[in-house]
Amino acid sequence: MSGAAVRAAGTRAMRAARGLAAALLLGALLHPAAARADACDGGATTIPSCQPQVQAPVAYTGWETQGWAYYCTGDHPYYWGASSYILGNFSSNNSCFSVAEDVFAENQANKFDATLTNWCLNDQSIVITLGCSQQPPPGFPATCNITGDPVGDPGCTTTNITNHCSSTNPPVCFQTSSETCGDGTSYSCTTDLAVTWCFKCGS
Amino acid sequence: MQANRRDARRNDRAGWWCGILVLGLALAAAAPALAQKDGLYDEGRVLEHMRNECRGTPDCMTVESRDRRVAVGQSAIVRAHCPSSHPHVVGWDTEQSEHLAVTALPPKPQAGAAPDPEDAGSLVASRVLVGATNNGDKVGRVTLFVGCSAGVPKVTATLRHRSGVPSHHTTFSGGPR
Repeated sequence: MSGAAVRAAGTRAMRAARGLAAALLLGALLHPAAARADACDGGATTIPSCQPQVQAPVAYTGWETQGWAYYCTGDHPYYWGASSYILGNFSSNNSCFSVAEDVFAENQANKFDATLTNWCLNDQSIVITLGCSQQPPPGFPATCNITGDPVGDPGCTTTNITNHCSSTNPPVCFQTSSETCGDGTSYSCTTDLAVTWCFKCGS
Repeated sequence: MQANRRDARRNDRAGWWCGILVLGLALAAAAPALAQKDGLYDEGRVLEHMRNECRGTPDCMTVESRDRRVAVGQSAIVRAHCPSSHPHVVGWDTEQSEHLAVTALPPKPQAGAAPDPEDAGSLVASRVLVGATNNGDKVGRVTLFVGCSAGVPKVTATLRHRSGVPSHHTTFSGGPR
C-alpha cells in the first residue's frame, strides 16, 4: 500500500472516530435520563429535610390511563411540588408510562397529583416515589415565620389546631398547630400519625 | 383459428388481472374510511379488574357492585357499600369498557344539594361513588370494586379516574359526531 493510501485511510478512521464521539456526546446530552429529576431533587431549590417515600405498586392493563393522588405521610408529610415551582420531585420505575403532574389538583400541602398512562400493550405495574419534607412548602400558610431545624414537641400551650384532610374517600389528613411556651417562645407544629414536631418561630 | 382462441384467452386473463388490480386499488383507497367507521374506540375492549382496591392493605375484602350499562352519550353514577364488618373504604377499581371514563365523586354532598343521611357526620364514609361517562358509539358497561377493611386503613394514594387509551387513536382521523 502506498503512503498516500495509508494517510487517506488514517484520515477516514480519524473522521469516523470524531463522528462517533460527537454522536455519543449528543446522545448523552439529549437522553431523557440526563434531564430527568428525581424524588428530593428540587433542582435550583434545596428541599429541606427531604425523604423519598416509596408508594405501593399500582397495576394497569395495556393502553390505560389512571389519575392518582399520592400523599406524603408520617413525619415527612409535605410535598414540595409544582405549586412551589419545583418540577419533578418524584420518580417512577417503569418506562412504559407517561406521568403528568396535575398542579391545579394539588390543593393540599401533602399531595402529589398526576395522570398516568401505560403506553405498552400488556399489563404493567408502576411504583411512584415522592420527595417528602418535614417542612411546609413555600406558600403554605404556616402559623408563623419558621426558623431553624425541626425540634420535638415542646409540650407548651397549644392553639390554632387545624386538620388538613383531602376530600377523597378515605381522607388523608395531617394536623397543624401553634405552641407558646412560658418564656414567650412560640412554635409552628405539625402532627401526623401521632407524631408531632415543631419549628421555632422567628421575629 | 387456434391463434385467435389463444389471443381471446390471453385477453380474458388480462381482463381478470385488471379487475383484481382495480379492486385492490379501490380497497386501499377505502381503507381509511373503513377504519374510521369503527370510531376512535374499540367498544369491544374491556379494561380488566386489576385488583387495585386493596393494594396490600391487610384484612381487606372486595365488594362488587352490580354490572351497570351506560348508553351512548350518557353518564351514570355507580355505587358500592362496605359491609358493617368492614366499614372502612380502602380504595376502588373497576372492570369497564374502554370507551367509558370513570371518575371518583366526593363523598360529601355537593354544595346546595340535600345532605345524604348516610354521609352525615361520618368523616370516613363507608361507600364509594363514581361517575361513568360513555365517550363511544356503543353501549358500555362498568362494574365497581371497593376495598373494605375492618380497621382504619393507612392510605397514602387514592384513585381519581380510570379510562382506556382509545385503541384506534393511531389510525382515526376524526370527523363530525
